[in-house]
Formats: sequence, C-alpha cells, structure tokens
Amino acid sequence: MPFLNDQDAAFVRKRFDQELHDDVTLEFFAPSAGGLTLPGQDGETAEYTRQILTEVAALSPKIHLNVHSLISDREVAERFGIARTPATVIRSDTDFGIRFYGMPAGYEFATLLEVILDVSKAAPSLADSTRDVLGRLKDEAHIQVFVTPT
Amino acid sequence: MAALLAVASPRVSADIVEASEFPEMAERYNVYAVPKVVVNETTEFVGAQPEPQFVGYVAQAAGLQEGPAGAQ
Repeated sequence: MPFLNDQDAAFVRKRFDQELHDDVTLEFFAPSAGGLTLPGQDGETAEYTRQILTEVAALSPKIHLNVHSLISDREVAERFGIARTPATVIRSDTDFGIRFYGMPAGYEFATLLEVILDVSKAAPSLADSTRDVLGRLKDEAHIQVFVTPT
Repeated sequence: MAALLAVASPRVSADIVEASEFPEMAERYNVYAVPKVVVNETTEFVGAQPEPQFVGYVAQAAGLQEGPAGAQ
C-alpha cells in the first residue's frame, strides 16, 4: 500500500522535474537495515519512513536513497553525526548539516519536499539583511525545530 | 527557514525533529507547542517567525550582539 496516491505522486514528480537542480541524496538511518525489523514503535516508524523515502526517491532520477543501519553501519552514522533513529540526512554533494528525525508524515511530508528542493537549488532566496547577518556569525548555530505530524 | 539558513551558511546546521517520536527530547526542551525552535541549546522560541526575527534569534544564539533591525 503506497503512501502517495497516484495523483499526489504525479504532482510531486512534476515539481521535481521542474525545480530540482543538483542531485540530492537521502541518507536514511534505521535501527537495523534489511530483514530485521525490531519490535516496538521505533521499528515501525523506521520502516514506514523507509517506505516514504523510497517512494520519494522513485519520483526523480536526481534523488538517491541510501539505507543504513545504526547498528551495523556505525562508521557512517558517526560521519553524519547520527545517534537517534529514524534519521534522514538530506544532502547534495555538500552536506549542509540538515537532518530530519522521525517519520516525515502528514504536514511534515511537505517539509521534507521543501528541504529536498532547498538543498537541490543551493541558492536560497533570503533577504540581503539575512545574508549579512549570516556572514557575520561568530560561532556555529545548531538549530533544532520541533514539529508534530498533525 | 532553518533549512534555508543551513544551506546558506556553513556555520548553520538544522535538525527537524518529530516531537511525538522523541518524547525524551520533547521533555528535555519543554516542547508543549509546535513549532518550537531551539538554537544552540540556549535560545528558544515558539511559533512561526518572520525571517528577520528568526534570523535575529539565531544571531543572538551564535554570539552576535544584535540581529537585523526589528529583532528582539
């Protein structure tokens, strides 16, 4: 049973065709990959997330999905700084430090699509004053946005 | 907005977190309403913010004395 119906998939596919620029890679981290689904909510949401990401990646040749296990792909997880799952790194050839923790369902599915497009375009439309502030940042800024899939 | 800033600046990183799936994090950061944004563990605000205000909070958290005009 797919998450996206045909109409939604066609809409997203068209948007990707029109707006994607650079290739985007989704690095997905589950508790374990392939075959072994751990019981409990964490295992279920991870599996649903994997399915959602698989469907999204199928909608454009420019979107690639790599599935990792936090348990058996520890080095990869450390490289991307992943300690909690399910987690998805959304990157192009550049890792901008963007991570999605949890299942991108409901309204957050739209968030996932927008982030994919932002990463792909790599030319965010921001005000000049914003760019000025970003240029003057002294320290790093780690932003955490808490959301719910309502 | 957080993702846009992360793309625009190598100093900015962004985590989007489903609070219902990570209750220990929601409790740690006192997440009762969403969206809630926490920057560098110290600066936080609730609700969607216009770009200048959002950036102002990020600037404060990252050591700038002041953000764009209009930010608190």
